[in-house]
Amino acid sequence: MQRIFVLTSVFLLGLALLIGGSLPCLAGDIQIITTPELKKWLAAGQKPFLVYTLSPVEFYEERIPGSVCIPTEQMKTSRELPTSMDTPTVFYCAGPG
Amino acid sequence: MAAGQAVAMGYRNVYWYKEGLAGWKKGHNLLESFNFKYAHRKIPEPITPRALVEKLRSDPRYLLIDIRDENSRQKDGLIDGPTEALPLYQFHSDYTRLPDDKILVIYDIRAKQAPAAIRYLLEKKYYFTHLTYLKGGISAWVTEGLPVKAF
Repeated sequence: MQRIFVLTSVFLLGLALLIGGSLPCLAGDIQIITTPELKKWLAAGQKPFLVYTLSPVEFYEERIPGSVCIPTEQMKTSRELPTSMDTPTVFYCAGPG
Repeated sequence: MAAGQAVAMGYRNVYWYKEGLAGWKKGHNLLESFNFKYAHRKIPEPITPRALVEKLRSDPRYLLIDIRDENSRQKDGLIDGPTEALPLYQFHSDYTRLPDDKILVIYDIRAKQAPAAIRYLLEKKYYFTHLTYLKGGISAWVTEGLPVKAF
């Protein structure tokens, strides 16, 4: 009985590690995505909706190709956000520092 | 914060690219720009907090341009002096109210965004000699022990 419990636990732990290693990290309801993951996703057929959250002045200078600019302060009133609540949407800004 | 707002608005498939533009550039990935040459043009030197204190005291041509959003202005306070508040997210639509016969001192939290505002004004033909920004932003001003006033 004890052996079955140990084997089951090891199996479940292995399964959790396998799933956790292949998915972006979760921060509550927001999934954190890394540079290699985003690059791969943008190169794929079904691209996400990509949102630059700083100002149009900064957007004018440099941005990831395919982004739209929706400043954080204007999120609630923006008409540019997807109409479907299930559209995969990636938000980014300048980054740390 | 924007990602959090999206979740609060009901979006169910939300991602945050935490590394941001800095991480994207570090990986030597493709960027887009309306004008790359403009994005890297030379801008005027910043002014130190102590030098700005002197100028605000002695030169009536100096005008502070506070590009922070309202939350930051409330949280960190304001520099005392003649000021136009023009948040950066509205800069592109409202910059025309900035005078071109004053010396404009752009300030933000840590001088990370002020250079973009300077480059934008240079593109809109404001004089190079009439523009500068506060070195280190209001963070440096406070670190120097200089006073701020409440919003």
